[in-house]
Amino acid sequence: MFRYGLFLLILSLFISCQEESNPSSSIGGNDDDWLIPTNQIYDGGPGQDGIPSIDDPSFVGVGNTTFLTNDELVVIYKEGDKVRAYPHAILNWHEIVNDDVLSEEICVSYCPLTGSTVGFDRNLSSESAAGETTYGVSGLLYNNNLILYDRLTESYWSQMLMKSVHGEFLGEDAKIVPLIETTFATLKKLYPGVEILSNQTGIYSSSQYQTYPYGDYKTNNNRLLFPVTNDDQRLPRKDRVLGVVTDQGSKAYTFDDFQNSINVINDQIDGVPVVIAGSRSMNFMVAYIRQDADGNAIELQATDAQLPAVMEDAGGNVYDIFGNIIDGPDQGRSLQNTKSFMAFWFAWGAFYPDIEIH
Amino acid sequence: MRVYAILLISIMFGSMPYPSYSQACCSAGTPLLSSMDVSTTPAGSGHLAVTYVYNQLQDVFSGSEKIEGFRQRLSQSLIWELSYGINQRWSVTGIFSWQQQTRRLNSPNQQQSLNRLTTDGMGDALILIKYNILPLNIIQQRQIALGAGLKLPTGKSNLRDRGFLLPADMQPGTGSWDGVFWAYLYQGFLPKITANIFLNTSFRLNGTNNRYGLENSDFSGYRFGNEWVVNVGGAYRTLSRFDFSIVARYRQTAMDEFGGVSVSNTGGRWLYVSPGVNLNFSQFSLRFSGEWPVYRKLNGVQLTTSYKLDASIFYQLQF
Repeated sequence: MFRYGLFLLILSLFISCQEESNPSSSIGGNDDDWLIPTNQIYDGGPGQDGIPSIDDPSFVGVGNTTFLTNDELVVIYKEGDKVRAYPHAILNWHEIVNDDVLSEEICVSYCPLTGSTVGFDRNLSSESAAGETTYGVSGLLYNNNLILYDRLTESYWSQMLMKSVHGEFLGEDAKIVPLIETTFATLKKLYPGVEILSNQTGIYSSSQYQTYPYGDYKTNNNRLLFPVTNDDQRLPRKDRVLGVVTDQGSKAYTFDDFQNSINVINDQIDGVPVVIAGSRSMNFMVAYIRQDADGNAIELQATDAQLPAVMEDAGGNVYDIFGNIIDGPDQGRSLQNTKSFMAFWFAWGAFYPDIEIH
Repeated sequence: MRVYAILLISIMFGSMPYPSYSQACCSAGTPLLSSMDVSTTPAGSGHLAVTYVYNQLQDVFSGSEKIEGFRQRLSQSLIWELSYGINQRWSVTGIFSWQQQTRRLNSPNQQQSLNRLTTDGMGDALILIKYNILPLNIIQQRQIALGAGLKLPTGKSNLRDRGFLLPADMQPGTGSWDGVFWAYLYQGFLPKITANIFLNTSFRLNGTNNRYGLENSDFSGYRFGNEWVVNVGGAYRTLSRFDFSIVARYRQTAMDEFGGVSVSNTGGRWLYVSPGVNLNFSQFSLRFSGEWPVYRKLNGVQLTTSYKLDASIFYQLQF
């Protein structure tokens, strides 16, 4: 009798330690509520906000940036004359930076598992909700890729689909802000006056950002952490590729398409005229719709003008790396942005199975 | 005769279990491997143990360097062990378990939430056959035993939260059939010293589960890294009800595998020190112990055990 009593005592102590019940099904789990198949969404491990976003970023000048080497990747955002850069070294640990740049409220998102950087406008509007939000890391992954959530409506957003996949904004396209990925060395040549996200984040110690938290993941082509819906092996999985998404189709460009000097490719994606500028040694590729103010397709070529100029057209206009005409008769006008960003090849193949390779 | 009886009882209690719970990092399932009695069970008798394990994981390591973390994990286990001595040479042990995992953030980051999630359920089971190469006797006070067994995937390994498959380390089971190999060496020193020393080692050869349940995919199965544990310790028996023990525990796990390729941030090497105290009564004994890491070298960046506490109750059953 005594034995059974002790058993029951220990069992009851254990049960009383249970602070929460089993996971519930309060949201999700129903494909009707989601734009993507829920059986292919995985909990990445840390949980919501387990990877903490940076919501109050501080910045330093190039001269005070001692924690970056020249070949480390950074993400650039430009608004007016203000240029800011967000190092992968910091984004690896936070994935999201909610920032205000002049009058723009932006979210810089980076997924280390798919190597993808996408900028989101933080102003949301729908029939029932509107306002400025911040984004956080939901802890969920689809095709190894970050799913963000907005703190205004708790809607979920697939980074690489650039759409809301659950919640109030279900099915709506995200408002994308253009970002450019390149190296710290190129950044310094492009914009010496750039403000760089400080490694004094107030969340982790500055030394922690020297550590890449995923081992050899970014270079090991065999290594994935979660299943993908389409394992496209036309290119090595971890090749960094520029993907361009239009309403008509999508196309991928690799650094093999470019030389060390800046090259320009005038191309079409299912009838949409695009221009791709890039340089292998400078480690960047960018894409724009190549149309003039009247909507006519134009041809561009590499320019001899100084950086940040990268292209020029036959009319004497010179374009900077963000597609802005910085010199010439149409100065002040800009090329239309594409939905394009850098990511590992496997992710492009998983999200856009019909993607062409240039 | 009375002296021999006292010696025999002393040896039996002196070789009472010193459980060694092998789960240390964010690994799935119940820490079954070393929870088993490190001794064998005398012929015709049984041995019943119930153990509660409280495992707090809030240290984040990059290699052997402690870095800052933002989350923590609490793993609680309840383990039932039943052993039976078939004869002087052979005995069998069965272990069944219940597992609860809780993850939460350490602190809110501005307007961010303190996300918290708890899972629980029956864990995996272990069946082990032990063979006494050198049965324990009063004169030599030495025992050498070997064992082999099977870990059965009785625990769920596909729990979901809001419909989404949870990570492997939040599952109560591993989902795989694993082979287990075990060896034990004991030496007592009665009547000169009321103390003994022991060594036990175990190895778990893990199978692959079907965690993702995908057909015709290279990415359906997940395999936890093989695990090797060595415990070296000693126990001192006092004239009172109390015994004291100290164990040094070395644990090494290989990297997990997914899609046939090793997984970043898994596997490593740990060394723990584990002091404990036994309270002996006529029909049962109680044991309380703690475990603290003294050395950790992990592959990549991992959340790992900060400390562990356990409490056990042991019965000797006569059939």
